[in-house]
Amino acid sequence: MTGTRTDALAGSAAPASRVDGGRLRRVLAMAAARLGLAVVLLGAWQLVSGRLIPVYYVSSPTQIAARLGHLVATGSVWRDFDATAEEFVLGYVIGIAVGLAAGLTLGALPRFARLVEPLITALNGIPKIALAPLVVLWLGIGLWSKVGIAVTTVFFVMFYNTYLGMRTVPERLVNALKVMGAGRGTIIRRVVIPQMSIPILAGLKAGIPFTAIGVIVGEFVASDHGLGYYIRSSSDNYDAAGIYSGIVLLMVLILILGFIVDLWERRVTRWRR
Amino acid sequence: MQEPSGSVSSTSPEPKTAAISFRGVRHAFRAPGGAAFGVLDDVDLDVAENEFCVIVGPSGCGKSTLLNLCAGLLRPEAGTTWFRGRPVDAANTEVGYVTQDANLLPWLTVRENLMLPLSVRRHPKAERAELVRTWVRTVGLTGFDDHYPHELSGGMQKRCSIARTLIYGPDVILMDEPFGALDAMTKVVMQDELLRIWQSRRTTLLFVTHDLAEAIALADRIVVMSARPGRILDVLDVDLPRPRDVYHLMESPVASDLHDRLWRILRAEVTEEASS
Repeated sequence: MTGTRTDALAGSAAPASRVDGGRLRRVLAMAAARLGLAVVLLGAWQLVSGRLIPVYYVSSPTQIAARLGHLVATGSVWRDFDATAEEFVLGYVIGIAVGLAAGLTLGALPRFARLVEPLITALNGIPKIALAPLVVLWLGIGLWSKVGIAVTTVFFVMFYNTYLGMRTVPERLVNALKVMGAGRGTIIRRVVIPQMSIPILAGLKAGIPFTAIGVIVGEFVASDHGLGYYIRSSSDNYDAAGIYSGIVLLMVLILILGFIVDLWERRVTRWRR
Repeated sequence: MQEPSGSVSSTSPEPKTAAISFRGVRHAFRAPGGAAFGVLDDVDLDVAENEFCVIVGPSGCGKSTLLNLCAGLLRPEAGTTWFRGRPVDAANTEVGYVTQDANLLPWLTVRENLMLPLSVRRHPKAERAELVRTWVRTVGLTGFDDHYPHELSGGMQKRCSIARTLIYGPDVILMDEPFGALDAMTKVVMQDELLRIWQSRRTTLLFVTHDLAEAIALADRIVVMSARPGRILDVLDVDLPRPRDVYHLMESPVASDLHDRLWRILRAEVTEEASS
């Protein structure tokens, strides 16, 4: 892929700068609209809180902001944030890698896949939260039990996306390359991998919230720090502001990872836009 | 030209001289339910080296199946496909195959799609860019080098796909209704271009179409197939001088006479197909 190519559509006669100007305006308008929506929702929350619904149920945006400010100012938040971020990234990367490898392997070996598919379906059917105590037993209450639980949740998402994606590789394109004289390696590089970028991206995106579930479940079950621990202990103290602050921080983490995946998506799917 | 082998097809079991030979080829497709329907029934056909052979017939008569057999993408249920004296039993990399769908790689630009066969076939690196430029111009895609297939019209995709095959100069070319998606004007221009290429390179062409005028304009020999399951009904020699002027071809009495004969043979098949 060339990096310098402009994305102007076929037949578009507008010079590149004008196209970019129009796009910039659209992006800004969308950002303003999103901000507006957020302000409206937060405003409604603030109004309702303490008037229609007791504060200890829903806290309020100002309380949460004050709590977040306090957490950041005292620096006490970073220990929890870092712990969860580390578990999150490790669990995500390992789960994605293993799911991808398994999906590609089984996709390439249909007979073997038929053998083990019922097993995988059955394992996927187990609510991962039921496995959590077992994983803690195996891996201890530290980092690796959370990573382990996150891996069990994100693995299946990535596996199914990849495995089913392998069936979408168009045989007609593979045949065209075969007649052209391409070997297995070329066909994988030129057809299978580009085609697979679509289901793989879907798996990468869907895997993020699943990783969050795994990590937080792990921290709920057994931990002495992390955002899940903070949410849990806030909840034990009926501290709604604490619960919401923990959730906000978790959302920040999810958004960061999502943003990284989006950047990559924009690079590899240029041919579809 | 050069005795376009007039004989329909000898039944000798091991064809030695022909570029492509079908011997007793029979094929059927199985519907998911299990019911088989025949597409080819006992086809014997020889295509000589340097011959321009065109297959016509009603849709669904197995014309494309014949090409797939020759490209080695399909094994017949009975009979053998021979390519230059060897049975075809794997993807046939000695042929160039322009399929009915353009089959361009959607993630590559026009330029990259044309580069692909050159790099696959290890064409000298220094010549690649120039060749691509030449072919982009030949098929009228100048200015679209950096466009992705989905940014092109169907006809442009088709032209790109034709260029992708011709660019590496295979000396046996299979074409499955390559000009079907083109408008009438472009179609004639492309026919003219194809004849010029065939004339200068002396390639062997096995060409499928349902356009009778196109068959007459291009072919040394026209093979007429029946409705499904496809059998060979007749083989007609096209006694028109070359080089041919595709723009005024149908004004020739020989051509219009041939058109009438083809149509008489096919009419029964087409109406039968339509009424069944």
